[in-house]
Amino acid sequence: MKLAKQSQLFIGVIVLILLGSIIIDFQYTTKLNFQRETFSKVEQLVQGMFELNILTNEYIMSGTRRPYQQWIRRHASLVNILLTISNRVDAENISTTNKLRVKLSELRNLFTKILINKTSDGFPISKTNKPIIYKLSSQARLLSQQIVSNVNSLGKYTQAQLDLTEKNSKQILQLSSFIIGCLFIAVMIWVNQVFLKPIRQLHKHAKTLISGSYYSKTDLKTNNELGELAESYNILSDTIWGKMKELTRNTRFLEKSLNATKIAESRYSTIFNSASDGIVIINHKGIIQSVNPSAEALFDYTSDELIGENVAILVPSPHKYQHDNYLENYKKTRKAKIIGARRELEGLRKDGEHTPISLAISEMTLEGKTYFSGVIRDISEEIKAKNDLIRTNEQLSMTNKELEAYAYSISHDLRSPLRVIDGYSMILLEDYADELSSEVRDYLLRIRKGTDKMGDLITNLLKMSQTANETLMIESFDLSKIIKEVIEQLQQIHKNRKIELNYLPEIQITGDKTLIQDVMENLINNSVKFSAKQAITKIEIGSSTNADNLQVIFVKDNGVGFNMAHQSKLFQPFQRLHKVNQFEGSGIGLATVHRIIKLHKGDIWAESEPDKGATFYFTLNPTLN
Amino acid sequence: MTKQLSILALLLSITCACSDQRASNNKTMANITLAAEMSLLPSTVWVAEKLELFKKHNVNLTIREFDSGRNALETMLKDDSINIATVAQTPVVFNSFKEEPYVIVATMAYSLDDIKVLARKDRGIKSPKDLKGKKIGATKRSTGHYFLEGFLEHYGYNLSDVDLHDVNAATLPEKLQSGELDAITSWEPHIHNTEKIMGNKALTLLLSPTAFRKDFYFTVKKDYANYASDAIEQFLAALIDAEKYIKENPLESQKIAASRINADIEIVKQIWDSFTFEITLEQSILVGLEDEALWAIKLSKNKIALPNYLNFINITPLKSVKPNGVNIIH
Repeated sequence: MKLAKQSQLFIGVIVLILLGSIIIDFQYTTKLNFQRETFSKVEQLVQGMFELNILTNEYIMSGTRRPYQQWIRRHASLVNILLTISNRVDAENISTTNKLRVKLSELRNLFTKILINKTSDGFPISKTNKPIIYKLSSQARLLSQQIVSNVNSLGKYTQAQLDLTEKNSKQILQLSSFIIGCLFIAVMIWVNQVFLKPIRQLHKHAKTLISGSYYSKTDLKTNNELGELAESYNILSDTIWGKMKELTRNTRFLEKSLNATKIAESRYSTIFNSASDGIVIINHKGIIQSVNPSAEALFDYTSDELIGENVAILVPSPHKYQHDNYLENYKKTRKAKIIGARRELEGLRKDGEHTPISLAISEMTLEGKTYFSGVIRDISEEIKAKNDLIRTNEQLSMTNKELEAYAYSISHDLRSPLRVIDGYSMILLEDYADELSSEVRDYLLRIRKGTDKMGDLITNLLKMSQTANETLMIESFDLSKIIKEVIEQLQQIHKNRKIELNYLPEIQITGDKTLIQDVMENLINNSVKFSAKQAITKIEIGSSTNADNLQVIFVKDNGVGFNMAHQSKLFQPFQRLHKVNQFEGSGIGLATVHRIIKLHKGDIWAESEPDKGATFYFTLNPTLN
Repeated sequence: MTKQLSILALLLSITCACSDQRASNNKTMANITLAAEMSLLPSTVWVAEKLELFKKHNVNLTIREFDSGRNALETMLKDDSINIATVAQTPVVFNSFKEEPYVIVATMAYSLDDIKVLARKDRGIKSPKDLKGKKIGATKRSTGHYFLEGFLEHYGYNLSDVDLHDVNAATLPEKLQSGELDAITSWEPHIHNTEKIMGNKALTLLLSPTAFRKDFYFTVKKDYANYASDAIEQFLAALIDAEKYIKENPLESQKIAASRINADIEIVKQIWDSFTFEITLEQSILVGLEDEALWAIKLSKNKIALPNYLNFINITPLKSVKPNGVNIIH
C-alpha cells in the first residue's frame, strides 16, 4: 500500500480515537460538573441553614427589618436550591427532598410565628412575648438541625454519586491512556517498518554511493513511495556511474590537455624569454601586458616599469600621440598599416634615445579579448651595414668608372704607336719590298697582322668600356632590318660558306637601336663563327613570349655548342670556352652583349649541348621608356 | 496527506478551544472619575494606578484627591462628574439617614486596631479607669468619638464621666503635647505622629479590649450603579489584581502608596500592618453599620429610624468579578 494511503488510514484511525476520546471526555466532564454542582448546592443548603439560624437570632436580638428581609430572601433561595436538587436526584432520594421541602416550609411558618409574636419592629422583646418567641426559636433551631441532618444524607448520596463518576472517569482515562499508549507503540512500529527501516537502508546505500561505489544498487523493494525512491536511487547511481566514467575520460583528456598546455606554455615561455627579438604584448587599449628580456634590454626598461603602462612609452613623437588612434582606427575599420607586416621605424629608449627597430605586429584573441604582440628587432647594426654597403658600392662604381676611363684612355693611346708600327711595316713592305728577303717580308706581314688584331682588340675594348658609360637612346624599331643588314655584311665576308638564315620578317622591339645592333652583330657573328665546321650553317632568329609575358629574342645555330657546365663563364670578359686555335676571338664580344642587355635591364642566357648547336636568348625591359 | 493533517490540526485546536474556558475580554473602555482621600486606605487604587491595571481592564480612571473620605463622599453626592468615592464607615452612617442616593459596592480595606487612646503619663493615666474626669480630645461624630464611647462603656462609665473636647484630628497630637489635653483618641497616622513627637515613655497607649473593626468602602451613586454595572466591574477587577499584588509584594506596595500620598516610607511601613486591603462584601459590615447608626441616632437625640443597610449595598458588580468575595447573606 502506498505511504499516502497508509497515512490517510492511520490519520483516520487517530481522528476516530481522538473524536471518541473527546466525546467520552465531554460526557464525563459534563456529568462530573453536574454532580459537583449538585454537591455544591447541597453544601449551600447546609450553609443556608446556618445563615438562617444566625439571621433568626439577629432578628430576635435586634428586631430590625434588615435580618428579617435577609431571612426571607435566603429562605427563598434555599427553596430554589432544593427544587434544583430535586430535579437532579434519582427516585430513591426524591422522598428526601420532598421531606426537606416540607421542613423548609415548616421553618418559614415558625419564623412567621416569631414575627407575629413580636409586637413591633424594635428592641427589646417584651416580657409577655419573650417565652413564646424563645420557644419558637428553639423549635426553629431543632427543625434546622433536622433539615441539616436530611441534607447531610442527601450530601452523602451526591458525594457517593460523584465518587462513582470520578472513579469511572478515572478508569476511562486509564483505558484511553492505554489505547493511546498502544496506538503510540503501533505508530512507532509502523513508522519503523514503513519509514525508518527503508530510510536507514537508503541512507546506507547513500553512504555507499558517497564512498565512491557508484555501481552499487539498493535491493529495497517496497510497493510505496520509498520503493520508488529506491528505484530512483538506482537510476541515479547508474547515471552517476556513467557520468563518472565520462568524467574520468574528460579528466584524462583534460590532464593531457593540461600537460600539453604546460608544455606549450613552457615552450612559449622559453621562446618568449630567450628570443633574441624583443616581444611586447599589449591589450586592446594599448596597455602593456608582458615584455620579454630582449625587449627590456632593447628599451632599457625593467618589465615592472613597463607592465601596466601604455605602449606609447616606447614610441617616439609624433607617433607617440597617435598610437591610441591607430588602435581605435584598427578596431573600427580592421584595416591596419602595420599589423601582419614588418616595418622599420624608431623606438624610444628609457634614456630618450631613438633606436631603429623592425616591428612586426600580430593580433591574437585570448578568452574573448583582443591582444597584440609586437616582435621588435634591433636593426641598428643592419642599418649600419646597409649604409656601409651603399658607400662601398658607390666607391666601387667610382673605381669602375675610373678604370673604364683609364682603359679607354689606354686603348686610345695604344692606337697611336700601333698605327706607327703598322705604318712603318707597310712602308717597309711597299718601299723596300725588293730589298727584303721573303723571311723578312713574312715577319713584316705577321707584324701587320698582329697590329691589325691588336687594333680589333683595342676597338672591342673601347666599345666595351664605352658601353658602360653609354646613355641609352630608347626607341621602338624593327629588329628584322638590323638582322638583314648584319647577315648581308657577313655573307660578303664569308662568300664561300653556305649560310641558311631564317628569321621573322618583322620583329618589333624597344631599346637603343645602335647598341641592339651591336648585340645582334655579336650573336650572329658568333653563330657563323662557331658553325664554320658545318657544311651548311643554319641560323634561326625569332621572338617569343615567356611566362612573365616578356618578349624573348633568340638566336639559334647548328654550331659546336658548349658544355652547360661552363655557362657561368660565358659572359665574363676574356673568358673563352674554346681554344683560340679552334675559333678566333677576343673574348670580349659576349661580355659586351651582356653589358648592353643589363643596360636595358634585361636578361640574357644560353642553352646548348656540345656539337648540337647553341641558342642565345635575351629580353629587354619594356618599361625603359 | 496535507488535507488529513489539516483536519487533525483542526480537531486538536477545537479540543484546546473547548478546554480553554476563559472568556475573552471584550469590554469597552470605561471612563470613571474617583474621589479618593489621600491616605493609605485606597492603597489598592494607588497600586492599580501605578501598575496600569486600570488600563489593562479598559478603565480610563481620573482621580480627584480629597483630604478626607467624608469630603469625597459628600462631593460625589453633589457633583455628577464623580462616579465613585472612597469613604470610611462613619461618614456612610451619617449620610444614610436622609435618603438612599448611594450604595457600597465593595470594601476596599478594614482595620481591627486602628483606633487607639493615647494619654499623658504625667497626668496620671496608666489604665483606662484613670481616664475618668480627664480632658480627652476626639473629633466629634467621627469613628474616634464612636470608639471612645464604646471603650468607656466597656470599663463601666460613659462619655459624661470625661471632659470631651471636639478637636480636629490633625491637631490632636500638638494639643496633647502642649498639655491642653490629657488624652486623645485617634487613628493612624495621628497616633504614630504623636508618639514620634512626644516619645513612647511620656505616653500610655490604651487599646480596645475587643476587636474594633473599621471598614472603608467604595461607594457609588445608585443610578450610576444601575446603568454602569460593567464599568464598576472593570474598576473592581483592576482593584482585585492590585489586592493580589499587595499580598505578594508588600514592600513594593508600601513604596508605591507612600510615594503617591507623599508620606514618609518609614511611617507607612510601621502602620501598614494595621490595615487589610481586601476587596470584599462581608456580612459584618451590615452589623457594623447598624451598630454605628444606632450610636449616631442616640447622639442626635432625634427620633430617627434605623436605615435598612441592605439598601445601601449593591453586591452585583463584585459578585460578578469575585463571587467568593461576597459573603453577605442573600
